[in-house]
Amino acid sequence: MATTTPSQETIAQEATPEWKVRARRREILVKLGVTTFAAAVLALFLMPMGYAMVTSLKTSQQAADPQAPILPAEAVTFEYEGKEVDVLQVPIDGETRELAIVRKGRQDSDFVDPGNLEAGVITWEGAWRQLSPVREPAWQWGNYKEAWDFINFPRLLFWTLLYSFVTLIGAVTSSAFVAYGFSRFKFPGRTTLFIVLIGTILLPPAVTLIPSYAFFTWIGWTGTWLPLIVPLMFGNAYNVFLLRQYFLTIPREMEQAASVDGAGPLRTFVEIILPQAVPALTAVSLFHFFFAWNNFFDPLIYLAGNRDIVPISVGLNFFNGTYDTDPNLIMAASFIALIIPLVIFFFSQRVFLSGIVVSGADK
Amino acid sequence: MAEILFESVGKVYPGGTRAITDVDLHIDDGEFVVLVGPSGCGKSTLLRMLAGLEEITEGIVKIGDREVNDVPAKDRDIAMVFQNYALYPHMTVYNNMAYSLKLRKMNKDEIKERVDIAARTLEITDFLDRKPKALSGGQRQRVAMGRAIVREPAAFLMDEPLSNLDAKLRVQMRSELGELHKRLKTTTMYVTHDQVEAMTMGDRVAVIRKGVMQQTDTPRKLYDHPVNVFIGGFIGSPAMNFIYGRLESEGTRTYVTFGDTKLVVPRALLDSRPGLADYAQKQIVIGIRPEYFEHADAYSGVLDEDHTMTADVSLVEQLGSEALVHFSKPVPPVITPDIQELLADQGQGPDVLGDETKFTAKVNPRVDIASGDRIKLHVDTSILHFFDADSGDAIY
Repeated sequence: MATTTPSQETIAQEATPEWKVRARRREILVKLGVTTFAAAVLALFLMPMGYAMVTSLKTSQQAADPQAPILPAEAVTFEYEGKEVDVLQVPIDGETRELAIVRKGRQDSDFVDPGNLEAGVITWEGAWRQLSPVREPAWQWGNYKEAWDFINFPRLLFWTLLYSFVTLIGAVTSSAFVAYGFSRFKFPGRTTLFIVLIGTILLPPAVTLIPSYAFFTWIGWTGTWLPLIVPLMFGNAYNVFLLRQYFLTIPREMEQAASVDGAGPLRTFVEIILPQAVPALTAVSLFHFFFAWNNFFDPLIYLAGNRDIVPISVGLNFFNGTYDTDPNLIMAASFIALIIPLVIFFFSQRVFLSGIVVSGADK
Repeated sequence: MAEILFESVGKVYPGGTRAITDVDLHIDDGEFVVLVGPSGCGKSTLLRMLAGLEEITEGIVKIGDREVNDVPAKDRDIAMVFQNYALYPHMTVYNNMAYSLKLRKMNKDEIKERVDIAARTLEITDFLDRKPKALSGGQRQRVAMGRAIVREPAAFLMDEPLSNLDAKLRVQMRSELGELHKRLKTTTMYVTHDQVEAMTMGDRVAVIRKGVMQQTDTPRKLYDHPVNVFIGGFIGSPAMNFIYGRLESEGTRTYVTFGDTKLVVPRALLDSRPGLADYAQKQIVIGIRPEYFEHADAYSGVLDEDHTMTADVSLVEQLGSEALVHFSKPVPPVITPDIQELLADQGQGPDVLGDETKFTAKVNPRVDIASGDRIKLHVDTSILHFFDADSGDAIY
């Protein structure tokens, strides 16, 4: 008895019951399904980015050629009697051969076989323009360097960063003050003012565009950064709204405790309230940073006369000339420009997200 | 340390709502005064007016010899403990306690010394480096106290500081606060809606109702000599029983009668309440505290008809140390504004009283009583309370 019991137990432990196996299998299937679905959605969303990435590695010709294959590739050429000639796919006697074209004719053309020059010139009857070129994969990493040099990337980056950070500090600081005022201080017309402020969100930018432009021209600010920076120093309705909502979640007793402790309103705001609003401030800062980084239209019109101080968003457009365009270089430059916001977002996303979900207020 | 003085203090909000009416209150140096009343009665407002968090619209508030009506909170030399503690979540316990001292530009060594002493007193030395989030409710409460005592202020103001704690911890902190006050002897104004807290902690208790001060007295006096039905019903748990009755004289004896019950009023009681003479044959409100009853079987003295009443038991609550017996008498219930207000504080309307007067008696738990029994109760009539049926004021 004593010797058989343990072995029976071992068997009982090892044999997993049927229902458990099935449950686990179902669980794995569900996970697989969910993951596949998520991956599919992700792929869909990343498709434009993937296309941009691929384009950035193409030659200018391939990027402009709608017939060209999707992946970066280059037409193969062959050096024949001191000249670069194209290698084409030629259908001869029911098979397709890769031959270099040495004489282009309307009715017939002459080819040589790059692998077998001794075979001499092969004449093929037909329109050579209908033949597809032979291509081999070619990743144009040089595009990135070319893009960097062509538009003077460091200078664009400098202006973009300057613009982003200066306005970031101004916009967040002013919005925080305004939001705190709306969330805590009672003053006549508070509700009306707040409604007006929120109303500015609804106002389409196109409506204010011309009056603002006219005004800034009148005071002589066009062609400088001033019309882009100064208006952002006075708060922004989105930021004010977001921060106000967050401030409202902070108990009033905080300020009362601070005032009994001996702090004035400004000190209370800076030392007691702001440190508790870090998630919301981070969210607002990032929103603003991305906005400023991407802002294209305002710099385009206000800095139109001064090509030396435009930000990246406008600089990318330098590749679009009147008579030519370099989509591959635009994409390459865009990717370089993408790196900084991406890195910033990556490192701050945790705080950022808790700021958007205005809830995690620890009392 | 200092005395605190309220002189004809009133508060009217900008919209015209009146929160406080003509409050006079004097708190001696080192005294612990509890401000108690139902929710919304203005007790917190009064405290916050003293703290400088609410504007004083009428009257004068003095701390020490100084009128503080127009002195900002930070210059009033008071420390406040909030209901939700209001600890700064981004600062460590040490910094929470040191913050006010830093703002006073005290030097670092002195700050450290004061915080250390306070932390030792409150036994929170181990948590000084933690943030409030990492503390339990009781520990946060101590930190909030610590933040107040490091200041060594003229007065402590406490706004329901124990109401966020669970029942057991509340009892413990109650006695700790009491001991702390004995040691520090700092003038304290303490606001609560819990009459047990008020009775156990206060040197004196001030009962406020609808912004009007009702009675300020020692807990004992408040309990034995409530000035009106409101205080009689508010102080004491279970609450005082109220019933409409009449005073009737038969020969040399005076009785109080209601329904089929007739209880003698002792001569000594009559003598101490000369005002009762005006109420002969008139309807008055009689107040009987639950503990004035005793089951006839458990009563040690001699039973007589003049001190007993019968009761048809509707419910018995056995608490071990005592038993609460509920019964009704076929007399219309007392519904005065005071009673309605007391009911409203418990979230109830006058309908719950029904059309009979309900009684609660606190009796010896060792006598077997069941619902539906008809029992005899002895009533200690030497401490009955009498109130005017219209005004609700006590008759003295």
